[in-house]
Amino acid sequence: MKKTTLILLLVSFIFVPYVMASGGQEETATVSDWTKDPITMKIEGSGWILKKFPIQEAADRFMQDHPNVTIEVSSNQDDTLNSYMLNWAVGDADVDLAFGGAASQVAKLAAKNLLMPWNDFYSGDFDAKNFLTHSVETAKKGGDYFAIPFMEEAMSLQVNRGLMAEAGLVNSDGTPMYPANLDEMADFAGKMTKGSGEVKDIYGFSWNLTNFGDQQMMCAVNALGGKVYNDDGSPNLEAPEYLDIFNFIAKVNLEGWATKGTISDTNAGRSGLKAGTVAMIFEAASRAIEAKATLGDDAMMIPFPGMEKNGTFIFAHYAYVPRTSKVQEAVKAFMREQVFTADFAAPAAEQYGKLPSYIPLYSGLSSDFEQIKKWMALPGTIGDMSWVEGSKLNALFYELEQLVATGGITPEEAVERLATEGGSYNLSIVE
Amino acid sequence: MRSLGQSKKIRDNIDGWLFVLPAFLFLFSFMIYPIAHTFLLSFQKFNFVYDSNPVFIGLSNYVKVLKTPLFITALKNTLRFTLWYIPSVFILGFMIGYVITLPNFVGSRISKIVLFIPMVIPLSMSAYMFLFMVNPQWGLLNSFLADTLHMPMLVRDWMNDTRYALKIILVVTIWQNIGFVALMFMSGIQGISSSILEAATIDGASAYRKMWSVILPNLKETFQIVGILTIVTSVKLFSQVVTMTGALGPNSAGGPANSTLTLYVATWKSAFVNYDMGIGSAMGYLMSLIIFLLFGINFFVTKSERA
Repeated sequence: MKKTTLILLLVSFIFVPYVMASGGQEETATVSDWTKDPITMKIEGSGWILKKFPIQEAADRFMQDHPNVTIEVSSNQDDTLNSYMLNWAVGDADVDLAFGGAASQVAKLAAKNLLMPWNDFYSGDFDAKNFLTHSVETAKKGGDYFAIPFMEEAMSLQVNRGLMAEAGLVNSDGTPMYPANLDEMADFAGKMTKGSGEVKDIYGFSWNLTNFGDQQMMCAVNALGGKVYNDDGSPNLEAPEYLDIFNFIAKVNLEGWATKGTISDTNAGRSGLKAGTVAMIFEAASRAIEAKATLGDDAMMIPFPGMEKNGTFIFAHYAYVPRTSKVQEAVKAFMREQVFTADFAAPAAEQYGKLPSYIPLYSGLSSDFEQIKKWMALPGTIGDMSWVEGSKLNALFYELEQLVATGGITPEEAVERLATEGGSYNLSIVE
Repeated sequence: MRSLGQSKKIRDNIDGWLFVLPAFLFLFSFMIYPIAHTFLLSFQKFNFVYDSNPVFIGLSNYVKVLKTPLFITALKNTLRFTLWYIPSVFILGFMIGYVITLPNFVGSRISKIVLFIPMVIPLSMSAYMFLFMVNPQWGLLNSFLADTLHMPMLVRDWMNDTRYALKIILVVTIWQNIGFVALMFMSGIQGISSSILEAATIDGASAYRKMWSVILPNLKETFQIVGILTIVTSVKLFSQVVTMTGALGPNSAGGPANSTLTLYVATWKSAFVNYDMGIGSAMGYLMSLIIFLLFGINFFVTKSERA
């Protein structure tokens, strides 16, 4: 008897956890009527998104309008989205709506067929033509829109007008001069750099060496008049402009005119701009808006050489819903009623420079955005793409940029490696 | 027909197997199966996200890895780190452990506590602490060099300089682990019978002779264990690199310009950033091979000492 009990206990010990673990894979029914049934909606966002967008306030308003809905807002600790991929693949309904991630990042979730399609969302006031077309179309796979853009970034130069004035780089009316080409931009960087030794007091320039890898490079190639994409949407890694850009990176870094701080801290450039220790950065235009908190009107956007003629580079951040969510209709209502509104978008735009993807919201923005809107509207403006091995290309750009910036390889070697190694990756569009 | 004895034996065996089963299931699920599956993956082309099925490609992954500049760089960095780390930890750890055991050393107890502190601090916190200290603009190190020593020419952008980044990580790793190694040596020295040391003193052995002929030969097992631990620590270097160079995303980990890219970081990037499970698995097995090779050298060296 004792032995039988012992055996039963052992068997339970072994199998109960497996049975319990497999319970997570069980599909549960979708809520029949979200407007009446009591439901809980779990929203997650990257830390920076929760800081910059009033998601909690939007949730509070939604709960007030729909008393049967409870919304829990929390931060996503994994920017790689790998945890989503693992959890959602085994059927966990841990999140109903996620904010944050470029199309290339979110595409991997779509490739695993884990995301709810947004096709029926794009109708009426929210017709796809009311969104920035490129961002809508980039998040499309097999005819389904797997994510919806809620925020846009556009690349440009951001400068500290005060430091430009000290270096004599302003026009007679006090507006900053625009560098006409890469040589002139390097010259600007040199003139604005102050201090001696290996660590300077003020750096004239910052090129982000750990973020915006492909966006920066491709924006620069496009602005300089180069062909960024091949006809099939794959990147043209043999554009001659890459050599000019690598030469520029080598020059400003090896001369000590650019901070290499972004190698270990991707925010070093923008932090330096805000602190007045970096005069000019090439990043998303939102950096100039956020720098107004410390620099006031001295924080300004100016075009990268050629951008006024050839346009800029835009990329979006997306919201997406796992197929495991039981409250998908409620999520869509939340997006319609709260997210694509001025209450949600305007604070993030005016304070942090995060531009809306929903075009009607642009009419309420301040004059600070006039220039970037103009560059975004140029016919030459391009957007990002989702490639199968895009993460490898991104990593290769960082590697080559860092090697060139630290003198590890020559610009010619960088271009050679970009063409050969980058050319060996599968850079077909995710379809 | 089975005899009564045979039936009892089978029943007893079933009991035994049932007792072993939980441990076996655990080992099988979390060790044996992943090791075997990873081995299989190392011969397959399989992008975890975009490939629906793995395709067998023989040794291609291994060939590709060995030809990849990134792997060669990671291998060089790992070996460079190992060559600095192991001797440093051995020499410093032994010296500290020896000093603590000296009978006339007064700060023995407090030293043991101080040595233990880095071990209880999480690795990531230690890394951040050092990152703060080597910050080019407001870090303690540059302030000390420029303001205290009045040598501004020595001021550097430490973590963004390919010449120094790996060395800073080396210092952090030594600081984190030296206490444990010193305590290992301390307990090894304390384990040597006092009668042997007394006999050597009576025979007129000098301090140098006692060290060379009595203490060191009696510590060969300690050297072997410390050797194994330091090899594993250095070849599997990961957390410090990712924390100190990749705090804001996997892309920056291993920088600047791959000067701190180690085998473990390269393997992680291949498998979990690029989702190239075949390449990642092949790198993992090559890394294991290197660890076993170093274990062999360690065993050979400590065995020679015994002879």
